[in-house]
Amino acid sequence: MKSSQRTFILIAVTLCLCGIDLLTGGVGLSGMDAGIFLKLRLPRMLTALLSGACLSLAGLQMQSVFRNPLADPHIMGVSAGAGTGAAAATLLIGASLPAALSGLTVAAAAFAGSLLTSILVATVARNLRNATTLLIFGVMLGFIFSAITSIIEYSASAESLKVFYSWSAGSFSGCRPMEVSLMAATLLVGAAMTLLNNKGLDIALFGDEYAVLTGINIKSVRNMALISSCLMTGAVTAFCGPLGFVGIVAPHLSRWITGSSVHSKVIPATMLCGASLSLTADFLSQISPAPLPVGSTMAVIGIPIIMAILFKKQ
Amino acid sequence: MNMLKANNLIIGYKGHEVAGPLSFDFPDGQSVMLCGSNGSGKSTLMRTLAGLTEPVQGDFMAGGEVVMVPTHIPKVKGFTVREFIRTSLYTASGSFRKLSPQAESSLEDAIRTLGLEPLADKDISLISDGEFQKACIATALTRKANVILLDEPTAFLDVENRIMVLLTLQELAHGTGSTIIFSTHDIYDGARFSDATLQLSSCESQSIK
Repeated sequence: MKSSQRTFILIAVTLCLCGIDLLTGGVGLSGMDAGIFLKLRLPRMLTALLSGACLSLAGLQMQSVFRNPLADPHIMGVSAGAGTGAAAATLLIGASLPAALSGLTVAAAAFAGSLLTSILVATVARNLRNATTLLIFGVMLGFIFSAITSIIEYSASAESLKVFYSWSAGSFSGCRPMEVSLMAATLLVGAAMTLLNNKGLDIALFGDEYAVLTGINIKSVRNMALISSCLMTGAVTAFCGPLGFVGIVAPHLSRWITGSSVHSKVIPATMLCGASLSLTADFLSQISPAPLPVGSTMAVIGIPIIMAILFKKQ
Repeated sequence: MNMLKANNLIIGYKGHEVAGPLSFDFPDGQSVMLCGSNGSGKSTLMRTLAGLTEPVQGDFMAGGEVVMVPTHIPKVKGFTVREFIRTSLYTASGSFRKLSPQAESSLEDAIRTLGLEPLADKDISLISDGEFQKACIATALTRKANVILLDEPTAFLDVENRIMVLLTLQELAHGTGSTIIFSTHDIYDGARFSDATLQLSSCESQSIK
């Protein structure tokens, strides 16, 4: 099959999943009215679509600049930083506010946390030549933030913990038009940065020394990739909670579907794969009889795919 | 005109001398073997000639485009030979890998010169290390290099591939008039398929032949 045909099929699959996701939810087709559709279903579907595309693009860039097949936004500590922000917010103010307001506070604090982590990573990246050292720095940063989160949780009240856990379980529901458009704007900027960086990302795959010899500034390729992935991860994590796996899995799926690692081909496919994966995760958590957080369904779909990739490499 | 000459060149890092003084003058169209023990400054000399490291003292003249091919470029899955060569043309291609007609035809010329036509659309992870080394050489050719520097192009190759690569380098130098310098530890095969030798040992050098 030609790669243009495959891309076409991928688009069709994504659109179908969008439609299916719009039709699933608490009330059946007969009970659905315009209010439910516009206020609940459409924002939820768009949130799933946008966050899947954002996280998978972030993962793709991380995998390329770190030349590590298992790199994703989590590994750079960005999600953990967001978690610390959210935990601090719930402890300090969250529980005393009405539900809608506390959700927004948590989101803002989570974004501040991921922004802080991104600034730390970017500052260190400017002074480090070696990509592996930077990766280790990110992992360590993640551990530190997780530890701080645990300390905060330990002294938090039961109500605060509930607010924090409902954020950290991950959800595509409850985003208002303002939040959805914020994510859409982030995806637009992040995707544009990734596309402009496509040739640099190609070269990054062949190692730093090769990159220098082809005449590119590998540090600026790396910084551009870091900034755009941190931006996208920060926005999504703030509103939907820390969602794993889609960032690792979608780039691998898209390389398999396109049969290529050339970024100008992989970038669009990765966005579509990421969107499809998170739409599927949302669909599964909607049809489940017991309440099932999206973070968990994502793991249920993601882990077998990661395993398959790992075993295929053996 | 000779593309590559040096006069009492002392190479090193950050003012710390590694080797020299070196004096050489290679006629165009020669394949030159660069040998010396580990740490004798083979890579430093190449990096200096490629303009990545400043010489400690003395100077050299490299006419035209100097391209260095590093050792151990990974064979990343998901790039065909043609795509791999295109990737190295970062400065010459448009933002979405589009090449000018001239660059496009020099890419095809390079593929033809190195006999890579049957492999051009094959994934680089599926070709042999020797064939991949040829693809790396093709990237230098496509970039219109007058001086091609190769760091250990035969490392970890089996005998057949080693000889194929060395022979390719020599034919290329004779055929295109470029000056090719390759470093190697396989001095027997290297000497058989090169026109001159540059030997490095700490702070002492000689140009043979």
